[in-house]
Amino acid sequence: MKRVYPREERCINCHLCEVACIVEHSETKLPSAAYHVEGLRFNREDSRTICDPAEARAAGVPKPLNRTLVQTAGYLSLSTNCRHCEEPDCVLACKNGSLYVAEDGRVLVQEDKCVGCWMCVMACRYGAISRNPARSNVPAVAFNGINHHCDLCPERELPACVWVCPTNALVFEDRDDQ
Amino acid sequence: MNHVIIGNSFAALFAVEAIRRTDQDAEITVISREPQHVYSRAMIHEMLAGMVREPMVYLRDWDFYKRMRVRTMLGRTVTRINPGLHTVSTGEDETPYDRLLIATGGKPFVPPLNGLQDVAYHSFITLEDAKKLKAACEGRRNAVVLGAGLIGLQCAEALRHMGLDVAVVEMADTVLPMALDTESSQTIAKELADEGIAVHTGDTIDLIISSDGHPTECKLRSGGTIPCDLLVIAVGVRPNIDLAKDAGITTDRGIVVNEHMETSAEHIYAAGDCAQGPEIVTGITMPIPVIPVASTQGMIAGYNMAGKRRRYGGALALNAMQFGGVQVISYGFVKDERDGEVLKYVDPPRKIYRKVIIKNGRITGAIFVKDVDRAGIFRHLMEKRIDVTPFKEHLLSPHFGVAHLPAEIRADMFTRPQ
Ligand SMILES: Cc1cc2nc3c(=O)[nH]c(=O)nc-3n(C[C@H](O)[C@H](O)[C@H](O)COP(=O)(O)OP(=O)(O)OC[C@H]3O[C@@H](n4cnc5c(N)ncnc54)[C@H](O)[C@@H]3O)c2cc1C
Repeated sequence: MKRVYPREERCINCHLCEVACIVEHSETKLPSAAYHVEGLRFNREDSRTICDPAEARAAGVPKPLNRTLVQTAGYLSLSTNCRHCEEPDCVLACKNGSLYVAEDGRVLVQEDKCVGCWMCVMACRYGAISRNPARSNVPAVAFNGINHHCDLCPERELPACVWVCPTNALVFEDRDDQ
Repeated sequence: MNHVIIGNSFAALFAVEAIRRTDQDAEITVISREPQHVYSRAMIHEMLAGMVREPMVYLRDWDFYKRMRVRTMLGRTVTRINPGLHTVSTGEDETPYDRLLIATGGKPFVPPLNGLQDVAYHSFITLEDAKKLKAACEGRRNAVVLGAGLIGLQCAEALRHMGLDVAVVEMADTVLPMALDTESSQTIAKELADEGIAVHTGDTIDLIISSDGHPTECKLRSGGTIPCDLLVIAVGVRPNIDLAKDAGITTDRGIVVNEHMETSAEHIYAAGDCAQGPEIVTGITMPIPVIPVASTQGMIAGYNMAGKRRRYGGALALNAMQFGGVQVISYGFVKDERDGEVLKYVDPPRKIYRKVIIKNGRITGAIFVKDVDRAGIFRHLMEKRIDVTPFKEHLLSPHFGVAHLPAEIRADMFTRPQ
């Protein structure tokens, strides 16, 4: 199946993939409206406050984050997201079966079933899952939220992050036979 | 090929899916003591507290067995395995198998306590247990939970949420003595206290005082007495090995399996909480009763049963838990710091705590309190036994991520299908 692969030797740490991701998953699909009207904010690797649903709500940004994340070390950077694994560790760990592998191979979450136990965050060796504070199915738990990860942009032929990348540092390819 | 699976939980579920993926024609029979559709034990406290609707505890849609073409025998208990005859027996009938998976999970351990024989008490393992406990809560004020492990504390929190006064009694000096280190268990103990749960560590119940079969008070070893009109025993779960043992299959603490999930008996496999397979940090076999291990072992067993040879590199103990306002994720052996280098990051006002233990360049234990994002990278480092010496100064920085890993590991993770 086609997956998104980063090419770190081309990445210039511009974070446009994060912007494109959050705009694609917004209501308006317009960058400035997504930011200023819908109040969507970007998750940066060090922006811990907006990663924790309780702290995000306290800070007034209970909005879903971008599903791809640029990770850096000095001048090295790469955009990372869900690998859509064939035998996903997150699905094997999911406490109540809300994560599943769809017919087309994508790893998806049932948003009305996820209870925010974060077994998936524990299980995912790529660190590709974040906590979405915009929705809670167990409101009695203060920091409850739901699983949030790349869905490969179901409404697009080319995922938004790949489409926007100015340096071709993200590609959408089928490497299954390599 | 005719496959029979004893059990209907995580290990069984992933075995069914692996068998069906590999062999469209296989016959699959699932036999389970519990009558329910495949559900998650790890959801029963949320059920008890009324925090989630019942459909959220079931692991797959109602048409799951139909889609997987599984013959189910639910509400039926296997009483004997006959390896010589290749059958399992439920007392009423004999079911033949070509390949058998034992996925019988665990059973509650009930310690001998003075007065326990005279009272009604509760276990907290099954959906049925949770429903019975919920019914028994009616009109009760003072719950006592014996055992401050994961199950005991989840039960205590649920009962507290329902408005009962709750006391937890634990023999060890800390809560979650098996799962957490001292610092993180103190954080959890404080959360529990803030929720109004009374925790008595380093103590146990010496005598249960009752009237008419109902508990009224518990006398503690430390001398005090606590009121009690609802008693939950949650001191632990032991691997359910009786069937295997009686059939002459090698058992230790659990049913001993190799890296293919094969037991000592030909064509008989075991997976999940009942099994004792290889552990990755130590290399020895031990039961690791957590969901990801049960699921993965079940999947590996399923593939091997269906003829697709698959090896399991070994299990890593790992858990994610939440109490009060705190989330904890842990990997490996978080208490054993002997001969290890210990790295810590603490931010007390935000309750953030991270610790990594390194021995011979390899991580043997890691724990994350509150700040858990991308913790899973540590699982990878541990399971692949990666030497972290070259980048260890970055491990606990809030910034730490895949970009800090050596180039060849990054390439292995991000340039090929997983
Ligand atoms: C309250 C609670 C909370 C938990 N929370 C977590 C958590 O947060 N994270 C985590 O990782 N783990 C958690 N666990 C542990 C987790 O539930 C287990 O690791 C997991 O359920 C193991 O799955 P299993 O398939 O091995 O067996 P089990 O879930 O124990 O199921 C065993 C199956 O075997 C059947 N069976 C047993 N004997 C027979 C017989 N003789 N004949 C027929 N059928 C039989 C039973 O009916 C059942 O279907 C929790 C457990 C409990 C009880």
